[in-house]
Amino acid sequence: MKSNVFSLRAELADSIVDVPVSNSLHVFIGGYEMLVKKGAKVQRGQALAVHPRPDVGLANAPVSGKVSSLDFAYLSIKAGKDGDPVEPIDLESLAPGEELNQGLHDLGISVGRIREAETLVINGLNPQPSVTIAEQLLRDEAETISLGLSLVRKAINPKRCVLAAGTGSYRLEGCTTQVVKPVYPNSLPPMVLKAVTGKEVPESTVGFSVHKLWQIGHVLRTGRAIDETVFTLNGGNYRARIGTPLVDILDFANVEIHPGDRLVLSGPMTGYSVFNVEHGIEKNVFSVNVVPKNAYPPMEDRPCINCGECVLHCPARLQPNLIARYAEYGMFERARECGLDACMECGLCSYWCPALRPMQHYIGFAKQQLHPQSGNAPTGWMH
Amino acid sequence: MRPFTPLLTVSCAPHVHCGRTTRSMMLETLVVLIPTVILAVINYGLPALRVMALAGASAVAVEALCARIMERENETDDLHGLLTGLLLAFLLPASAPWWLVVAGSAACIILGKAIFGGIGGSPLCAPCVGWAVLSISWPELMDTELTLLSANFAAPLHQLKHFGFMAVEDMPLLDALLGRQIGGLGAVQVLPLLLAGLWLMIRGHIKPLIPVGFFLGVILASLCFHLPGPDEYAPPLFHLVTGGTVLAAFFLATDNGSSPVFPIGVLLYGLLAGVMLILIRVWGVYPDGAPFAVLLANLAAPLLDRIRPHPFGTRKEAA
Repeated sequence: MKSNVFSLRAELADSIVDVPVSNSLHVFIGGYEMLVKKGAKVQRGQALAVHPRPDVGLANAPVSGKVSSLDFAYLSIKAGKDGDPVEPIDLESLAPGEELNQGLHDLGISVGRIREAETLVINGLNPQPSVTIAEQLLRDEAETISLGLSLVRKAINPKRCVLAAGTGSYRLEGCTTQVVKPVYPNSLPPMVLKAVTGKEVPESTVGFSVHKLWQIGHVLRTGRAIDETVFTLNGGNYRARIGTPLVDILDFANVEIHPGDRLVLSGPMTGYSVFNVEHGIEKNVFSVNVVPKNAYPPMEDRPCINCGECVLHCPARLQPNLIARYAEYGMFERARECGLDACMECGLCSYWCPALRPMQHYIGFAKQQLHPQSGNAPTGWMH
Repeated sequence: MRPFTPLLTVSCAPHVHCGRTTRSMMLETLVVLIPTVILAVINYGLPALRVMALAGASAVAVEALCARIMERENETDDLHGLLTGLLLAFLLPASAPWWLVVAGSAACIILGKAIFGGIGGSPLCAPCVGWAVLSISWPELMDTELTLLSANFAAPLHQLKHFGFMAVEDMPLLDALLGRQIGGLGAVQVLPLLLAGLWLMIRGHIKPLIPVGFFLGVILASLCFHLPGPDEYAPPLFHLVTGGTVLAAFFLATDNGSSPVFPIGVLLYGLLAGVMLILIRVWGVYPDGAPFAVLLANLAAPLLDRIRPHPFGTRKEAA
């Protein structure tokens, strides 16, 4: 009945539209350790903050200017004149391994999964329903992606390289294309890896999204830290400087937002909502959605009615109803025994829940309680 | 300066929903049961309407009272209480006295729902609990044949029980389908119930394998009796269109909280209920016994739900 709701197929019409650079950019630096102070002059590409986890890339200045305000979450830069440009890093010349990873890290790329592996999987499926960025990048930015792929391939040294895509019409040099049915949740990393390798726990396999390859290709070409992101908004795809206030993007794209609406980043199924339209877009954001106030019934604090809808729709074959109840009452170990760690956080349990329970939130809460250190990394789409 | 900053809603993922809520599911079930209600009134007259109205109203009232006593939020607006009352009424004879109906509704809600913590918490199907309490406590009032002597209909299951299949062999199929038989006032309106059940199945409100397994169980079990003794035991079709078979298969056995979830368990559960129905009809003291069959299958549901797949990525470890 509702299968088309989860379709990941895209009808691409226009090319990527550039959003003009705003006067004031807000870089999200929650959880980072600051390297600059308020009032400092910064250059485009300069390191602003470092994340306590060594595999998470630096936060870099997307534009030259002056740090106009700084708090625990945002670093605002008032755009100004360019000074001495930051010395570009030539990634090609770096040796794969420590050296290359350090270079990528300094350019703002997280390097957690850049290590040697036998199989390299490129996730070319659109990540979520209504998001078309993957196909747009494969169509219009194939050059940058190929550039990124060449570097990743050097670092990973795979025997086999596979592009998973919704149709067979996309090709990447040196990759075999494997068609995966373009229906959510097939775009989730574990599902893609399973589709390609046939195993649920594949050995020596790493996956990257085309968005990530595009980022790597971008920094490789410019030698400058990642300062742009591409994302889907209202059916079209845009490119904006990191830190561009969402309100500027919405204005530019003529998308209205009203009080009570939800402003959702990185996909309607697994993304997060922000509380302020001034929030600056982050580097791993691949989609901006405005969810109207009364479009869907709001979540409620109601008990489970045991209807089993979540169990029937769970791609990880879990019993989300049980896990969510254990998590709700603080029984995290019991939740783990029920297979909590197999959860892909696809959001389908909450999507189908007729009792409107925030299932995915409970599950995420249990995961965070059991593995407190993993909650800090910036989330993304196979990033 | 921008003119205004909208105050946004923040929420956890996902930010979309299928739109189907408990209330809308119950409402849809109630709506598709309207033809059954109408046919029940046509066949049994105003007494049937009286029983249905009273059962529904008292179920809602008892639920509200329970919520009050238990200091819980009153959730009667999800319509589950009303549906429970209506399904109980479907199982009662049209001649049931008012206090019997109220006692049944109270038993449904208190013993079948409230003490387990509300909707979905009960391991047993609530209308069946109410029916079971009444049939054990007041068997003579619940015996549809004795209480509906004034009706002109045949009582196929009673005749089958007492006189064997020869006695009811010539009962027209259409009579059975259109509810011209004696039994629970709504349970015997087979045709509208069947259509309503199929609608819910297509719409995905009920797990399709439950009615499929149920009917399969009825057919297989009745064949086991009918083939060796065609004169004494009724064929599958007879069992499918008489008494509460269709109501039990589509509306009682499919009660979400008390049925298993994973496909194999669901199919076995349906089969078990169907087989139990025939065993009760053939060997038991009750002519129909559909609610008992469902209750017995309910008891096996937690066990059947242990037949479940391994979570993603753990299959190897477990082997």
